[in-house]
This record gives sequence, structure tokens and C-alpha cells, in this order.
Amino acid sequence: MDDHPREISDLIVAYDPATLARLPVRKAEVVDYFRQRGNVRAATIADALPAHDGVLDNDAMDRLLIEVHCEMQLLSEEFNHGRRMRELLAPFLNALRAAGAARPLRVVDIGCGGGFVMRWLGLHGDLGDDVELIGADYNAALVGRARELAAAEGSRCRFEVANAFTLAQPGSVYVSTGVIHHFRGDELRGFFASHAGDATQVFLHTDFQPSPLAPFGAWLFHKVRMRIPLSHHDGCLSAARAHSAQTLTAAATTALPGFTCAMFGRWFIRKPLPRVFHTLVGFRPALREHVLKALGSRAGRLEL
Amino acid sequence: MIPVILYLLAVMDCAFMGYRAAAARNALINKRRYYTRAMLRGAALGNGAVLIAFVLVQVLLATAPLREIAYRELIAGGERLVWVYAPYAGIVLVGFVFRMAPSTDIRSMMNILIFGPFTLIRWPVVLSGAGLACVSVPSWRVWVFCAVIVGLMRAAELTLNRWHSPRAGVVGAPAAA
Repeated sequence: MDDHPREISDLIVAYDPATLARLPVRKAEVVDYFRQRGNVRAATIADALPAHDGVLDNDAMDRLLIEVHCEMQLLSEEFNHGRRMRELLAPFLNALRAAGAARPLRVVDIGCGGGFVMRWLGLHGDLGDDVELIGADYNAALVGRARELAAAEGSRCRFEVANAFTLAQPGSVYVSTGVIHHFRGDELRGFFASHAGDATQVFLHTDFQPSPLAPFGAWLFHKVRMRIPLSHHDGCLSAARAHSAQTLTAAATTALPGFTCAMFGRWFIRKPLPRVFHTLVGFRPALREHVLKALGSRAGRLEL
Repeated sequence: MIPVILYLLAVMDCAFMGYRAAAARNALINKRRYYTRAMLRGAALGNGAVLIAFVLVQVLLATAPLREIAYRELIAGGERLVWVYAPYAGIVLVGFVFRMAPSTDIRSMMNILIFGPFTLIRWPVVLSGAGLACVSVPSWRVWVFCAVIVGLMRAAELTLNRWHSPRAGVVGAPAAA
């Protein structure tokens, strides 16, 4: 039994790592996983999920995940994830341009879900015509939904059912929002090691920042905003599972010796007021001066 | 003045109820029209609730042996409601003003400090206002009035949530602009 608690959404879908084909998930295994860990609430939620012959109904799981991501988008909107990503991404893209990086500059969102960040950037980011915005996720239903929504609003981005690191055209910049807490221990180092490709120049991974108030804050927000029990449970657990700055920088530095890794935006004004979210930033050392110049007054938020 | 303030508070509360009922059900990026319609729907329902409350007040006054005393009791009860509801509404409105700031930090701070916690305490505030009015003005007309308006607020909330709820089944499709 692993020591890292999983969210319900981690367990109710499974994919073949090579083909990304859906694998069957036995409902009893999901329920037992939570019962063995004393998580009665999660076990109850899992037990209520539709199944056929003991196997979770994939279509029903996809519909549920689409609704859950729609609810989670409210968190992204209320905490301005699109705007935040733009504020950090734009200077790094300028740094890449100043350094003469190859065009187009491909920004890949790892585990994009419903594609909120890419869709927002595609509509309001004004990142430049030399930028391609690509969202990647294993789940075909979520990717299909993201494509529908992007088309409905004419957002300049695209979505792929893919492992973000094995796209036909690799990214120059990898980003994620609320994803890295899903990786634990060796998985986290493996995740960072995947960024080592030659094309990768920058990564920006935003997630909850752990703090004494984070569990209460997560409970409060999810209590008043989320209607689906799975959203509430997984949202609260996400905040509890959030990696500290030390864990993230240690894992990234170990896995990526060819990158400069640092935390960005941990504190509101100054310590000790933590922001709700922090960002792990990584870039090729040759970009350092361009990055600091492009960040301008925000360079002080980068903990080099 | 008290009836006017209560009217404005009721309609504003219902408009925000409409917003909350609509929230997290539409995955489009640009939702200004969607939320505007949701708030107008809430405000319309609020006006309906106010109309019911107005009719109730007229009945309470018409059936009172001493109309002037009954009127003063209801005004006194309404005053207590304003004492509790107006500061709550004022703080929420201040939050909206700050939320228009260009800073993502200030916008997020408003969610943490005001919108989240004040959504959580909304029903305790509603019941506290009604409780204060009932305790301060020991008149059965005030008690009936408070019970009815609390019931109307709950009914409005349930109605708005139910109005949106069937549409949650089509959340997979883009909502009509």
C-alpha cells in the first residue's frame, strides 16, 4: 500500500501508458483503496459510481470528470489562473525571443483537463503570433470538450489527446496548473526528468502552496463553491497534498541538472503572507539574464 | 426609508443568489452575458418575493385593531433587519469594488477574505437578523413577517438552483451565449 493518498479522480480512470487506451477500473478496488485508508467519505462517493459487472462505466466517468472540471474552472476563474499564467509566461516568452529561440514558441499545458488556461490565453493572452498554445491530456472526453469550448469562442489554441512530452512537435515551454501534486516521490522526479528534451527551454508549474491556513481555506472554498461531492473531496485533498517549495525545488534540481530551478511568487508583498498558489519555474541557464530583464520589477519574486 | 432599504437589500441578495446558482455550470471563458442574465433572473425573483412580502404586510396592517401601532412594530422589526443585513451587504459590495483592481493578488484576496467566508456565513446572518428583529420587537406580526421572508429567501435559493440544475446535464455542451 503506497503512503501517498490518491484523489478519487486519480483512481476512477486508467490509461495504457503506451497507447493511452482506457483500461478497465474495478469499482471494488477503488472503494477498498479508500476504506483501507479510513477515508469513509471517498469510499462512499466511489461506491455510488455507476458500474457494469463491477467495472466503472467509462462514459459515466467521463461525464462526471467533465462536470467536475467545469466546477473546478470556477476556482481557476476566481483565482485568476489565466491572468496569472499570462503575467509569468509573457516575460519568459520575451526572454526566449531575446535569446533567439526557434519559432514558433510552443507552450504546452500538461494535464490540461478542460483547457481553461490555454483557452483563456488563446482569447486574452495576446502572447504574439509566434506562439502556439497546446493543451494535452490523456482523457479524450476532456480534450473533446476543450476543443468544443475553444471553437465556440474562437480561442487560438489546440488540444491533443497525448502525453505532453511525446507530442509530434515538442514544446519550448511546459506549463501546468494544479497538476504536480498528483506526482509523488519517484514519480515527481520522473515527471521533471521528462522536461530534459533538447527543445524544452522553460517550465512553469503552478499549484497550491502549503501553509497552516491552506487546509481550512481549501475546505471553505470547496464548501461554498463545489456542488459535486467528488469535486469537494478531491479539491480539499489537493490542498493537503500540495508540495512544499523545498520538495519541488529539490526534485526538479535533482532531475534536471541542466536547468535553473526556483520558486516564484510565494509571498504576498513580503513574508509571512503566503499566496494561495506558488509556481515552480525552470529555465536553461543561458536564459538567465534575458529572464531577469524580461521579468523587470517582478524579478524579486523569483527565489534564485 | 426602511421599506426601501429592505427592498434594495432583498433584490440585491436575490441577484447574487442568481449569480451563485449559475456559477460553476458554464465552462466558457467569456460569461458576462450569462451571469448578467442569471443576476437579472435572481433580481426578478427577488421582486416577486418582495411583492409577496408587501401583500403580507398589507394583510397584517389591515387585520390589526390599531393600524398605527402595528405599522410602527413592523418598521421597528425592519430596522433590526437592516442593522444586520446592511453591513453584510456593504462589505460584500466593497469586495466587488476591490475586485475590479487590476492586481491578481488583490482580486484573489477578495475571494479569500470576503466572498468565500461571507458566502459561508450568509444563512447565519439571515437568521441572526430575523432573530434580532423577533427578540427586539415582541410582536407576532413581526414574527410572522420574519418567518415569511426567511422562507421566501430559502424558496428563492432553491428555485434558482433548480432552474439551473437540469441544465447541468448539458454542461457538456457550450451554454447559449
